[in-house]
Amino acid sequence: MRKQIFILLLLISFGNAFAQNIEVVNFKQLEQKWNKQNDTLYLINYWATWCLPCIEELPDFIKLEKEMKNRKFKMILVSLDFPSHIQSRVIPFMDKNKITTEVVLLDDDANIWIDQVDKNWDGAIPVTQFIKRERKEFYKEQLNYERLKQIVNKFH
Amino acid sequence: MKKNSILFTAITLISFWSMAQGYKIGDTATSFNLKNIDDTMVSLNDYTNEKGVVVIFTCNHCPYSVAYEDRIIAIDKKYKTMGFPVVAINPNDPDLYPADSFTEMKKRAEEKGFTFPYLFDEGQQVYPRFGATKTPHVYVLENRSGKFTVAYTGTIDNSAKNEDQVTVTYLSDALDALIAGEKPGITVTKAIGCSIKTKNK
Repeated sequence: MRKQIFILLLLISFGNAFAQNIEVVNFKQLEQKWNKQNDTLYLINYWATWCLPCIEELPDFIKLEKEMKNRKFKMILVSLDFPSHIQSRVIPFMDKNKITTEVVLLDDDANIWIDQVDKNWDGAIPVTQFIKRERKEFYKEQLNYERLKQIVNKFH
Repeated sequence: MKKNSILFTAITLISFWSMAQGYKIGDTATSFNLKNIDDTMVSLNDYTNEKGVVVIFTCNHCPYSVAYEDRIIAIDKKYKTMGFPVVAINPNDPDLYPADSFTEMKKRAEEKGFTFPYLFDEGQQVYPRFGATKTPHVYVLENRSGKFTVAYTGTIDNSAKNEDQVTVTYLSDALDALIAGEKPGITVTKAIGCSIKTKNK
């Protein structure tokens, strides 16, 4: 009996290796993920599997995240894929690229929440936000590793 | 001599700056002359007998564009009879997005039965003038005595992914207002879309 439970648990954990749970959130729920009372630097990247510049810059973000492992840093990748594409596009993309970063899918009225991210943003992605306490910085361009390091250094 | 070069620099800077900004509501759109999927050239000047033109930057590969295809066809069918035909422009570089090549454009238009011109922005010169940043991106141009004036920019409605969840039809509302001789209640809207990319950027 013990042996069967052990094998079962093994199979379950193996099956979940990269098949992360993708949480679908509205904008209010998303905002709750960064707690302004702590000293953590939050990096929020808005992307999608169909967005070429988004895909291109992601490896540099993951590289940064690895380096920031022991620092007060949290990266959240916000996918703007359609919820119906989670199984067919988002999860396979994460599996293929071995992404273990927190990925959530934002599903909400774009004409309302785009302004709440940044009033000067028209909705084209990728965009990246850096948030630490009350300090927010918003980048409308494709970023690379060097730029990311520069920006992060400004916050520490 | 010095005064002239300062003036020249100032004018150049201002025109580059406004090009970078794109069209705002009230701006006059300069004409374009682009190749259609039937291999003829289509120009804004071809529409001087219409009340206006609904220019939509859209493409094959973007899921947001694909989600809107049927709705764009519906808008064209309804509003071309009222003086506002749709003109679709693909602003993408096929080297970056092979699915947006001219050949693929022809295929898609035929598959879906597009009822409007689907133009190729050769050299990607037209979309920066408009200031389009993603697909789909709509510019409603109103014909005021031959001058095509920007009357609405932004998105088609408030639910890209699901037509059944649409509660606000921004584009239709804007067109209805213009046809009634009024200004649209909402002239600029925002939406998510696939960013238009060039090799140099």
